[in-house]
Amino acid sequence: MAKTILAVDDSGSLRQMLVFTLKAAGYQVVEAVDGRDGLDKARQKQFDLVLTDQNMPNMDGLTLIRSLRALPAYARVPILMLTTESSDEMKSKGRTAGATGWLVKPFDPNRLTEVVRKVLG
Amino acid sequence: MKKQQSGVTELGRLLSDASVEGIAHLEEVQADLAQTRLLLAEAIARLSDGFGALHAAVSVQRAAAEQLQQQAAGGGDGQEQLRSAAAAIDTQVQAMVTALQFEDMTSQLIAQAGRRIAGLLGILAGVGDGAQGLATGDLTQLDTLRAAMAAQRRELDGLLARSVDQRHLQSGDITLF
Repeated sequence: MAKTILAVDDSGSLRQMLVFTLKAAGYQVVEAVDGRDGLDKARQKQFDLVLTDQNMPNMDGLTLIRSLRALPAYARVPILMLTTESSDEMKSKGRTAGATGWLVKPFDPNRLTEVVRKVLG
Repeated sequence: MKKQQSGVTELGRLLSDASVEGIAHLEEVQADLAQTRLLLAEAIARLSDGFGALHAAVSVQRAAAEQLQQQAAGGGDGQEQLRSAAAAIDTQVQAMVTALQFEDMTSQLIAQAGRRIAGLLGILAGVGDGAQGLATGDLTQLDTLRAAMAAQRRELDGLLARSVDQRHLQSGDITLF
């Protein structure tokens, strides 16, 4: 059965590219438009991996990661940050919040798929 | 003393005019940015939809061509050409997916520019208010004006954090913790 990924980003075009890439690699993808929407969807359904942007309205990516890590069901689920932010300071915040990895936009489909495969084991 | 007061009054009028003029131009820039954002959003929606549809059509065409090739001769140059064409298409698709992410970055930059313009409008409005006091020859308004500008500048500084440093549409770094 295909693994399911939650893709959280406020940019519709970015989500479209994520869905295109991940579906082509054989994954099921559910979209969320910001951190709050992502958290709601993660509470309703168990995802195998969460891919989230950082700068979003309502709830940013770091807050989403902290909120997910507080849920027992998401304590060990891989969470990747996909963002334009590239500073070491932000990466360090991501690591502390519980992110599994940090990917700087724009993403290359092959490299993204490779990382997703790797963290999903 | 009278000459100095007249100079202050003149300065007040000048600053007031500059404020009005500056606000008018910045509001035009604001409107242009909003229009640019709308056009970009529509363009990217059409490009993404077109790209998805084109890719789906090419995939169907590729599958049909492979089937025909297998039925016809069972190999040879045709299959090699098909494989080569498929690899070239895949390479272009990967590049397109990376490039089509430009809207995410440009919209963030436009939003940031919009916030800075709003901050500048606040500064110019503050200058305009203070300048009206100066225009009456009241020198104490200079301190009020300075304080108002300092407060606006601090507020604007809070909006200056850069979240998009990308200069090219090449894929970014990946760090696994």
